[in-house]
Amino acid sequence: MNEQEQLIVDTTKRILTDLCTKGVVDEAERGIWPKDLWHSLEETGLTRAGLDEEFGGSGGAQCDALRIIREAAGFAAPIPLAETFIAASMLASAGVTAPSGPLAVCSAEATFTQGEAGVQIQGKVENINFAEFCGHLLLVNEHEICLIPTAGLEFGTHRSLAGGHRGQVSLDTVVSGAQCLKLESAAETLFHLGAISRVNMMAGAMSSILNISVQFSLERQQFGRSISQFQAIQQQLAVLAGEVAACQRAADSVLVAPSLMDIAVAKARVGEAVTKVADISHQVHGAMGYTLEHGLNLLTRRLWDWRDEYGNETYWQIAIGQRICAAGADQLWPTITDAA
Amino acid sequence: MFKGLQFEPLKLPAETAELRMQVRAFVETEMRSGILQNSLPNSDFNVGDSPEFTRKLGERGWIGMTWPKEYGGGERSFLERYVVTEELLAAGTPVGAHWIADRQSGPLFLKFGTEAQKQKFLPKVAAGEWFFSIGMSEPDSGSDLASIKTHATKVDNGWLLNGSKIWSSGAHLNHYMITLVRTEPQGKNRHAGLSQFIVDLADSNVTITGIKNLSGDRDFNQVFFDDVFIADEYVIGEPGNGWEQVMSELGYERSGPERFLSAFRVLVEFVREVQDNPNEAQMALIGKLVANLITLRRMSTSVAGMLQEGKSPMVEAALIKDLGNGYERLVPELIRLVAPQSLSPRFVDTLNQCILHAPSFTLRGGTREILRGVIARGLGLR
Ligand SMILES: Cc1cc2nc3c(=O)[nH]c(=O)nc-3n(C[C@H](O)[C@H](O)[C@H](O)COP(=O)(O)OP(=O)(O)OC[C@H]3O[C@@H](n4cnc5c(N)ncnc54)[C@H](O)[C@@H]3O)c2cc1C
Repeated sequence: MNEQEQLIVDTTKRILTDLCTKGVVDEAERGIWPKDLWHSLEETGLTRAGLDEEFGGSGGAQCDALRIIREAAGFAAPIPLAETFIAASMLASAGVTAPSGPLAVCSAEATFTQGEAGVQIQGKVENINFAEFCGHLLLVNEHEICLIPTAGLEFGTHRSLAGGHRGQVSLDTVVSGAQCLKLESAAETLFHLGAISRVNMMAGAMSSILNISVQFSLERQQFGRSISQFQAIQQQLAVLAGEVAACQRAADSVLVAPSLMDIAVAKARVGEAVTKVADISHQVHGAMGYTLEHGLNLLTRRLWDWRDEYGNETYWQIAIGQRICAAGADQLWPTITDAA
Repeated sequence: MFKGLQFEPLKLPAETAELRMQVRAFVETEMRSGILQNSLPNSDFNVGDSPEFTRKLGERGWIGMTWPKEYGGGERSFLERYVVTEELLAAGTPVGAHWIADRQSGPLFLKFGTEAQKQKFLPKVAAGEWFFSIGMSEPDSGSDLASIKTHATKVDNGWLLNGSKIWSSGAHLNHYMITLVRTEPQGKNRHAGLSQFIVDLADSNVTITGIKNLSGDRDFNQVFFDDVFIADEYVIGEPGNGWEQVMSELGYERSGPERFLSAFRVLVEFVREVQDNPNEAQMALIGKLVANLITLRRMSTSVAGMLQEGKSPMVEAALIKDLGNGYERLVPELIRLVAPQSLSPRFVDTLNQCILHAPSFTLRGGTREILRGVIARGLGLR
């Protein structure tokens, strides 16, 4: 991490420590928008990091945004930082400045037809995160993006493992105030950026999980001593540390101009780690970690959610396997050394 | 993050690319028409011992690469050495003869040896002519290394050595064994009073009996010392400093590519079996194994970078070894579950060899449990 990135991470951490408490996350899961948290991040320019100033950004590179997204995930921040970054950067690619405030983004099996009164949208959109908190939603189909205001739309009541709404909407209507733009390979771009963001979010959450699990083991007393002194616990935490370290390294490999292989490797590897990370951290925490009251579940529930978004392990593993088989056995090792 | 869990990304410098191609070209020639013709490739560093192949590597300057030129070394970087070693393992070449001497005996001499020792031993090792064994474990001392009983008493100009070492890989083929010995009775500090001796394995007072491992190979041995005279010039470092010296070997011993590549040829040959018409389960498994491997390799090159900077990343090394050993043990287990009914004899032999050797992966060089103990210490738990 360079100095600039370190500064960004430290600032993010400071704001989140103050404003992203367990209470704030709980409230957000009950539908209350954490506006102080968002405002504070927005004021410092952190919600538009990694975007050109020309498009309302604070400059810097994509990896700045990903560092912020990773750090925030360690606090289970219930805000669409990743979605806002992805939407704003896709809009910027299409030459447009995103509206201010949090943005939702979602792939859509829909057609967009620009007319006089607005955009005629026909199709359905599923699994929209944070739609109820965002003034605008960016819909993405194969080669187009369409920015629509969310006012007046009903997104249903479906909930995700992460505790947020997972909006669904069917549209066959003209949306006034919508803006439709061409963007080559838009759906693919969203899928890749989505996977990259989830990898970083999982890595951030895991890092916090390791911290609180070690801390808990040092504090919890049984049989007259802290459970950290039991070898069985030490060995389990060592395994947890190994998984978490591997996931940080995997996430680091998608920070700057990742190849498709880098993304696939990272999403497959980090997703795979969730099983062990959740298993060990909950085991170490005992019944306390199984309560809604304790903060562990804010992180593990998000891991269970994020590992399935933008391609689960099997999806990305098959993508890798297909490529390896097509290239043939003798290209396997060169492929591995090329992935520096 | 905790100390010891950070693996800064490292980009291998440009000069390693050409070196890599040189190694690939050399190995390919040897496989096609040279001394490796008809051999079953095996990526396990402990399987396959070819003094002839080792000498060829020595001629090319691929042993002792990081050592000073005056001792036969190449004064190249740890990263260049990394590239050569990983290429040799991935190709499944027999590197067992020089592996220990190149990896840890040489660096030990450089760090603690006398000038005369460096001049005598290092050029021969770098030339691929002299091979070394590790003499740490004993029948009653495995993980608890400080409990060793092999001992030496001071005599004029040297020491008289008595006792026995066990699991000594290649002792029947190698020239010397760096042997950990108690030179003072055990006191309160269990780590004090230990020393490292260079034992000439051809000495007539040294008896070496082979032990077959479960695959039927004779790889390791029990080595008996019966009043073996060790001249003072054959003590490494300061008498009594043995523990510190042994521990310093472990950073080199634990973080290299041999800690996750042991089963690599099984994966390559599996891809060859299914590549023309893979089903989803096979592709998914290949993807899973490749994703894990690429990540492990990235962590391991980070550590090579730390070694290059002169750091001693003990916790990182333990962590890579534990993750890597767990991975290489899983490779044959998972592959067999999705393997097609009809398989080539070559693949079956590769797989079977790996299954037979796999139990050793999580034992040699520090057991899984001991490594996890090191990591737990890094976490502040002990
Ligand atoms: C293929 C192979 C090659 C080898 N080559 C060499 C060599 O060249 N030179 C050499 O000196 N040695 C060599 N070894 C020996 C190796 O270093 C030892 O096997 C290793 O240190 C473990 O010792 P042990 O086998 O006596 O097991 P033990 O130490 O007896 O352990 C048995 C089991 O108990 C566990 N255990 C032990 N202590 C603890 C503890 N404190 N907490 C929790 N669990 C514990 C271990 O993890 C293991 O699971 C080799 C071993 C193998 C398998």
